[in-house]
Amino acid sequence: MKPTVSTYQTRFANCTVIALLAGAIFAPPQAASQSCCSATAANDFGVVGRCNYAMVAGELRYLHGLSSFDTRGKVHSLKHATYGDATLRLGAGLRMPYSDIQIHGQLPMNVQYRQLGSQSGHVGAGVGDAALALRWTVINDTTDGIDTADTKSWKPFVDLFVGAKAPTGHTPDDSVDITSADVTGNGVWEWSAGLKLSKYLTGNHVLQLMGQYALRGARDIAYANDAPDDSLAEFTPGNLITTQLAWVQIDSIFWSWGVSANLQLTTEVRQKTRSTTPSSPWQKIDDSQTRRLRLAAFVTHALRYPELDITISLSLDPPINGFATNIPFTGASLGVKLAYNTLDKVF
Amino acid sequence: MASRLFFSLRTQPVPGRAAPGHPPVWALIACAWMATLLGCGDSDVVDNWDPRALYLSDDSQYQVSAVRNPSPPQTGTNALELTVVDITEQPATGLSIRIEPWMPAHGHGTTVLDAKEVGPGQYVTEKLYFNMPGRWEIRLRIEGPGVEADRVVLDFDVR
Repeated sequence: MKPTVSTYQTRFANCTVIALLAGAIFAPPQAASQSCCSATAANDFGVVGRCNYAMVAGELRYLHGLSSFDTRGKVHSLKHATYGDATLRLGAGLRMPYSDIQIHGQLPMNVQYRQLGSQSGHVGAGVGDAALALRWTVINDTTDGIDTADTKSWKPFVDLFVGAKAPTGHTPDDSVDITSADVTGNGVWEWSAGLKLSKYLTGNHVLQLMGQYALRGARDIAYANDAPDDSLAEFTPGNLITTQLAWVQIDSIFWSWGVSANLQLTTEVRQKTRSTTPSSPWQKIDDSQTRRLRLAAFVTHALRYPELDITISLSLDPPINGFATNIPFTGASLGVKLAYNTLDKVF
Repeated sequence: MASRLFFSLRTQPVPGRAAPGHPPVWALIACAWMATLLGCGDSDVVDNWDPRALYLSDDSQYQVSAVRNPSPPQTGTNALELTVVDITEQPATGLSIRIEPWMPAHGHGTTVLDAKEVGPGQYVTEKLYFNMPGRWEIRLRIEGPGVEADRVVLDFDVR
């Protein structure tokens, strides 16, 4: 009998739960009580670790396209397209004089390959959209774990953050490559705010929950075939809602690892005619919302504690019906990140 | 205390049994990932496109039907055959048809093309290009001799 979608989903969900529980219960016994300074920041690129004052990081990541999801959430393999993105991200973070506040940013540089149909492949390269954020740790965890006799031990780290992403990448409107291999940015400003909770359940196990909302601005588009009055429009991609659930295990000051599930939703795309009726209302574009679930795992090793660490991470968009909608390309990625941290106060 | 007890239990050897050592945590994680891969593959592609269906232009001057090759359309280069009839359902000849592939959810398109007339009311292009899977609009601008341009939009689900 052919397995159904729900069979796949159930099987996947069961295995994920087992894996997560197994990671928690059967962790290696040598786990040290010291909390790794940068472990809980490993899945936040460019963010300064708990006991560090500044950091710079570089990450090389390759994503290979495996499938696409249509508007109904059905998965389709990429039979007629080959899709690969190599991204070098540079990031840095710095704590302010009031050390619970830090500023951090990142700049991606992309090399992208697209081969569509029977045509030869195209390569495009360029700077992506740069991002800058301000992060405030409002509440600090003791990092000793939960002790029911001590109410202070229940407090998690609470980080509030606001950020902006600038349209420094090459936009779809500027593209000259027929495959769009040269498109490295959205072409709009993005303003975001979010909250992250990190709780040391023990000295070695951290549960993290993050939520973020991003407003995206508009860009101009031009239709070639519409009547002149309707040929120019403002276009705004949907706003982004991101949630992340992560589990980090700190085995020692040298080793940590974790798994995460990242769910990203975008609201409907909107546009309005620009030419003759500037006050015309925004119109929603049908079936333009997206949903994307990405699973990831990482392991971090301190090459030279506490300054230099390396993180290797894997991520995957599960190619299962219903796990995403309206995403042209999804796939698996492998990344290697080097981070240099300093314990010295800059200010 | 309860959580400390919970997490300390995992390292307590059971009398009479070997210490747990390093159980295959990564194997279990791999199981989860393999489960995702088991789900990998194509869903059934249902092509509901009817090449005989007629689409009325905005100003009701023309009706258009379209044959796609391949069908459903794919990323890369595709062919499109258009049959255009006028209000009296006679083949519309001598038209200038400009084709604009457009992805509404992404706010971009690909190369704009002119269709070539190959017979009475028959227009073709073999260079219709889609640079990613998803829902595309084929925006047609149809202009006949001495009349104002009219428009038709066809919806394609590109795989």
